[in-house]
Amino acid sequence: MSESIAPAAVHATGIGRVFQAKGGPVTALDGIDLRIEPGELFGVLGPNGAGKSTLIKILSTLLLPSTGSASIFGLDVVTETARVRRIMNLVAGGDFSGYGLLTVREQLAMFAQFYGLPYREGMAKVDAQLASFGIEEIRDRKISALSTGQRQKLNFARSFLNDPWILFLDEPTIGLDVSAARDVRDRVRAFQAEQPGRTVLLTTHYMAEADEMCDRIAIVDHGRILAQGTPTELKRMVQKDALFIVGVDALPAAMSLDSLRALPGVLSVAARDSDGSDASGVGSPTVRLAIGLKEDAALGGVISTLAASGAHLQEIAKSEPTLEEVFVQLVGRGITESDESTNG
Amino acid sequence: MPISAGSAPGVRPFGPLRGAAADAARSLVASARLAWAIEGNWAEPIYLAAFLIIRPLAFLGLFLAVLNIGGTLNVATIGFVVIGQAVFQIVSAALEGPTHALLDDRERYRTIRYIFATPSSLLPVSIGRSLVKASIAGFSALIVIGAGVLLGVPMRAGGPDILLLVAVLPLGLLSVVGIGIVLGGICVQLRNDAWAYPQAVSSTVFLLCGAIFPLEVLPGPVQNIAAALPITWWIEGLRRALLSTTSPGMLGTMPTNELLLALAVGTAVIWLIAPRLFVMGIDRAREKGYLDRNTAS
Repeated sequence: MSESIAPAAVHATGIGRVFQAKGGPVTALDGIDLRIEPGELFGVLGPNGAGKSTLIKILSTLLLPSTGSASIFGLDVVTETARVRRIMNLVAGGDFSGYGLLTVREQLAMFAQFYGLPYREGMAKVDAQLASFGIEEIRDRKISALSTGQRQKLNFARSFLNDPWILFLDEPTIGLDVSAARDVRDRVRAFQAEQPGRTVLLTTHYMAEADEMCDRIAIVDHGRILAQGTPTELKRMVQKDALFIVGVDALPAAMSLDSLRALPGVLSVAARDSDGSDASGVGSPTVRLAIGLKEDAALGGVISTLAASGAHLQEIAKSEPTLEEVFVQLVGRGITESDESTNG
Repeated sequence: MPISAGSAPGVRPFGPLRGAAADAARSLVASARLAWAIEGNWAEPIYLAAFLIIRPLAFLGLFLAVLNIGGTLNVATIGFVVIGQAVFQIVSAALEGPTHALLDDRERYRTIRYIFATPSSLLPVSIGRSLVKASIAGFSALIVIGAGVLLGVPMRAGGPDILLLVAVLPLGLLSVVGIGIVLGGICVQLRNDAWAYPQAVSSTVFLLCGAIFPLEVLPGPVQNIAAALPITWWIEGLRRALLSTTSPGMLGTMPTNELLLALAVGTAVIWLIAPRLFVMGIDRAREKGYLDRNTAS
């Protein structure tokens, strides 16, 4: 009996891409393996030139891979392009695409036709998307008169016209102001929430955006995936143990940090003054303890011990590394440095 | 539509059309509307007049002046040149149309990636754009013919041969659009400077197809190339449908039924190979990564 396996939203195996340039071949992607499940919001994080856009171009049928294979919901991106294009859409950030002479509504209506929608259904969807993005008031404005944020909202409205199963977002918030970027992120979340299984593949080099939005993230550099996992899993790569900051008003004189260190599951205890500088802790007013634990559950014993000694708890916070720290550890440089070296 | 394997949406009908034909028809109509908005949206009427009226009339005047200097100007040659010059307005628009549509979308509007990533093929999109360009050029053709009438060109008594016109006009238009999409498929594989290539081809065809002088003026082997071009027979067919005079040389001696056959066969051959060459060109551009990038940057 054969077992039925639901196809992944994205399944890429050994994807490579080499461009022929004047100075010789340039490897943009070097053996990418990727599996994204339906319903995931998957981020590809990396500096400029890492291969993020090339990966999206291949998956969205714009570019052929040099090696490897990839499928979208089981449909091959090289040989089944017509079917792939019915279930996906694409938005790139930072571009100024559009027919300046057309109005917003005319351009969306044209794309509705290209997506194969009957005219009336297409126009109904156009109007629904204009309302959804709050841009009805510019429906009759020419594309050439739109601001960057309005253009990107129009671009997103276009991408939702065919109810895509998977949405490829290539640096979608680049160049947008904080408010417009937040609107776009909210709309992407709403898009996913509207129907189970809708999948988003997002490339970005904004760490906070990736951390905030993505269920899982792949960190890429020089065309290779260096690591992938949930944001928490990635952060655990640079800080394997749980680290808690516990603030108390003062440690009783009878209290010894060694007694905390001796508790089960406690790996380390260091005391800091409220300004962050190292201190013995004992007897000092307002002490913050940095406590390393094998697992979160060990925190209970620490809190009980502190409470039993008469210390008054003021704060408990879990300290996590940032994705930036993960990136630096994996790539060997910060993402801004990477961009500068790439651009330069 | 639930998201599950095997339930991907299919093609919606377009009127009586189903499947790929429905997709193609819908795309052709949408792109024709786009082309009309782009080509017909002239902010300054003076530019419209310069492009559609003054330019073709200026070229007509130039050719007639050259013929006058050569001492060969008479009503028959004026008629020959007027129809050739008029039809070539449409020929050049249709030849250059697909390439300009593709390069415009890639380099100027930067929309080609979004169009290519739809279920629509770029083929009907390019054809739709090209047909509208050719139609607008048809206005210039009418202006040139009107000027010819004012110059005393001998039109057919009793009006045009409608049957011949109906047979020749669509066939010829199809043949030039077919050559145009081949050029589009080639030029999209090239970088930004590909703009000039269709114009070069158009100018060459202008010299070869008997638009302004008889084929006998050309060297022997080149005459064979000219005779193989359906555009040559399209222009001659239109002369016969509109003028009362006979063209000089082999153009004038070819029986009309043979002319129609040559035009039909040439058009059929072009359409047998043109879509394939276009798709091959697009595939090659996709392979090279030229479809979605601004090659000037």
